[in-house]
Amino acid sequence: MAAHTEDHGHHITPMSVYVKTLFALAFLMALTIAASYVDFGKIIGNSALGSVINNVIAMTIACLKAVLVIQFFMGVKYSSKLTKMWAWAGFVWFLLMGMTFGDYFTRHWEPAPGWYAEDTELPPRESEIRLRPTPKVHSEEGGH
Amino acid sequence: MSSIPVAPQINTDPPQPTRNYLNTEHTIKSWLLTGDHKRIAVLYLISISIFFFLGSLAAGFIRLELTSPRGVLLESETYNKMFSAHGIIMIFFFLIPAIPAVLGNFLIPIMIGARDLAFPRLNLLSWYLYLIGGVLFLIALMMGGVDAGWTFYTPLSSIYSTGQITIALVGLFITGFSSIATGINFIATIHKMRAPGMTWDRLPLFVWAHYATSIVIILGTPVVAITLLLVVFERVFKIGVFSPELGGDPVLFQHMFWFYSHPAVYIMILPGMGVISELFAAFSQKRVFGYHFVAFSSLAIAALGFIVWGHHMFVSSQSMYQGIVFSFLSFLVAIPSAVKVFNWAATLYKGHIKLKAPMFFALSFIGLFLIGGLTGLYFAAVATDVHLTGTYFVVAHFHYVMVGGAITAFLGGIHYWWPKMFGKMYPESWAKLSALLVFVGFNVTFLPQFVLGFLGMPRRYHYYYFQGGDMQFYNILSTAGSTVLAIGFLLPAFYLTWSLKYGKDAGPNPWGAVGLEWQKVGSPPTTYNFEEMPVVTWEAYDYQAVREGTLELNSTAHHHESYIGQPEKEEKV
Amino acid sequence: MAMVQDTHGGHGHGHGDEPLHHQFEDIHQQNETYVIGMWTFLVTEVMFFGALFLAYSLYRWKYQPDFYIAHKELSVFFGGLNTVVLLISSFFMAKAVYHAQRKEKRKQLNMLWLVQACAVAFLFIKVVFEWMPKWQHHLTPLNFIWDKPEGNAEHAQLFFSLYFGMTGLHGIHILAGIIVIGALQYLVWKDAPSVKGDYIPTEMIGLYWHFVDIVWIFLFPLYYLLPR
Repeated sequence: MAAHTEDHGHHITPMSVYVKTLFALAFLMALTIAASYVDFGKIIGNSALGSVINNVIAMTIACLKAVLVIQFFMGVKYSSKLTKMWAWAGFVWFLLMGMTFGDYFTRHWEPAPGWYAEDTELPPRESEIRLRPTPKVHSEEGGH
Repeated sequence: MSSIPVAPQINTDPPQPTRNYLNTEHTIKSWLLTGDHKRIAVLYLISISIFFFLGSLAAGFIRLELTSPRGVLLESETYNKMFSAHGIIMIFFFLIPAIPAVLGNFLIPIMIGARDLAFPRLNLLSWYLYLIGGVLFLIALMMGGVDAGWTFYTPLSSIYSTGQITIALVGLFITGFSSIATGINFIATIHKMRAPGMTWDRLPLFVWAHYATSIVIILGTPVVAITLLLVVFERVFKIGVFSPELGGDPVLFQHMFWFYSHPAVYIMILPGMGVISELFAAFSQKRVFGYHFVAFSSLAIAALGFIVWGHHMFVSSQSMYQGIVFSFLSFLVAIPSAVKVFNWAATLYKGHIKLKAPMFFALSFIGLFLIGGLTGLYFAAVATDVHLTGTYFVVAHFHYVMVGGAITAFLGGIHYWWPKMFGKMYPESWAKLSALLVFVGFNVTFLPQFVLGFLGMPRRYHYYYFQGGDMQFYNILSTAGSTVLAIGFLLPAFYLTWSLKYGKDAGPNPWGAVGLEWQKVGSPPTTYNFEEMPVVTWEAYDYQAVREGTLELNSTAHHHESYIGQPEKEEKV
Repeated sequence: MAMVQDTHGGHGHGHGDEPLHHQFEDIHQQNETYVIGMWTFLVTEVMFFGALFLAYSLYRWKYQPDFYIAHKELSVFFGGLNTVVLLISSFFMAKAVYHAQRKEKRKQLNMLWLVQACAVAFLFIKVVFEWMPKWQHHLTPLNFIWDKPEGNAEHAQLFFSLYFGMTGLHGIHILAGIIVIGALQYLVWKDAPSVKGDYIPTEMIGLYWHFVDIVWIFLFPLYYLLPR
């Protein structure tokens, strides 16, 4: 039958795999909690970069845990190609994430140099004004 | 009822199916608790028709109001509620479910050779969710209406609006799950329930289009569902994700809203394109030119549709650098759309064209969709978008795509498959009249709106007295056209209902078409569609094989030559 | 409804004890279709939560210092405890599917009871030790008062808006899971024809449950383990 040609016998994952997965997950959880108490900012002397390192570690471990759950508890490792395709289709979400952040990352570039005839000075960057509601930097009718 | 349906006598003369999905049971319960995809399609057909009527009523009020530049009929707030009701009903309760939930529901299992959709109860649940959402929205309307437009932009919808936003949004949230249910059903069905021999290469383009649509539905709808839910939370629980007072960004709402609502345009138009492919093949008696290109252009449109949403936000505080990216990507959508249009045109070339009513609709689809699509490019370009966005130009543009595209295709499809759905022929000349009225009325309504928009008439305004007489002239022209359009839409409601009782019996294959739905099942089909599973041995739209005599049409067709007759034998030149 | 539940006994190819719905040719087709359907549903769930994660990431990126101060109000201990509870429940769920595949009804039911116990424990910890103290400390969006010397009050409220929105939605999913697992237990216990000899319903509910676990796997570091 064209509609379903894959091997039919359903796979029963051995219990030992589940036990190993559980222990791996518990270990990773302990690791991520431990890592969160390490301030990489202090260690390397750059708080911004340290924060990035902390974030990357936490998210990498979370992704690893998710992959373990997907592959073994949910049995994607032993399933058909079609199931695999749909299982990983959820990552389309990063598209939404990426393109939206593309907007927010580039907002403070505006206005482009030369946008205003008189002044070529750029308004403050978003990072500098982010603790207060953004005041309007250049009013529409202002002094042209 | 018994577990195996009694084999109906569909292939013998006279073609009188003794038992079909319509007459197998008559109780109301047998309809309301049915799992049969065909009955659910009929339930959907009735409910979307009611909502279409309500939405058109609101449109009528809008058009009447705009004949006067000073708004003599409705107050400003009532006018806001009127266009909001029109937009919300037409988009969420008519256009999105129209073709997938009616024609798709009815035809996909039959076209691929399955007894039903994969999850019949989920399918029924989808209809109930749709109904609950619709009723909630109607309750919101009766309790005072919604004045935020169909887009529900924050902070208007979350903080300032006094309308019944909360109830309406909960209704839309629930309706969203109805279309998710349909999408999941279609994907599982198309993947797993095709008959032997029905390879992906042999799938009708209608099915391809619905597959692409379903992907858009399941990826996009949850995002808008949660977005609308967040607005509800903001109103009820003060959870201020979009609230500028807390440092939240209202433009984030636009991002998340358009991430769904731009692809939603493709939820509406892609199934329409699927219908048109079927119509052109059947009424040109010819294989669709460039079958694979048309099939994959559906997927390409679905994929590209997800990365162009920012072109709705060129005038928001979205970064203009990201705007450039969105602009470029938006232009790309034109490529697969054009691939389709060119291939349809090439299908007509040297075809054995039969100008029946569905073909009238299909041909007007091409013209109207072309105008709608090309004016879309004005909004893909940042500079013209800034000038034209928020004017009647954009109103005209999306009506050309939505009404001229999706609804025309829906009407064409309904006429084409009406004999299959109910076993009766519609009256041909009335249908042609309706197609003509829709085409003429539509153009008279919306062509002037392009001019209006270019003159600077903003959308959602009903006061334009400060603009002199020109605008009133175009507005009155538009209203006059909408009257013709309304008659064009009303006619089918009457003659199609009439045909249920008085129409001529259609027979299984009145069009001499080669799809499984015409070749292997009766009109109307039986509950489980096929008594024995069909084995597909021919390509999609293999009219060449019919002419060469290697593929035999369902035998009863020649009893109904008055409809279309057999395709001519290939003339030796 | 009768015709939905009707089965075509004649179509099964040597799997007479497994329920086959009328629209399928054989039990393998039915099983694969159900699994695909479930995964498609899970993709919609990913997008559903994904939108919230997007909102969270955006504000976290914009207001990181304030979010850091606000997150100190959350308890790593109870968050971690709940992580352990959910991980173990996922393990029990996997075991339940394992026993369902081997048609060991008694063991399958026991495992489902353990899953239920974990789920209830999770909700109990969540509500009693996390949400209720937040209400007393005026940290929910409905009664928000920020009396700490540091940190921006509005951004802290945004943090707790997102916290309650996301953990609340996750909690609703747990609650839905409890109901669905309860229904499954009832059907298995009654030997209902729709689940008798068929492991697929358990497998599908298992997939859902693991997904809920995965969401928590991401929520935990994002809310409880914020770096400076």
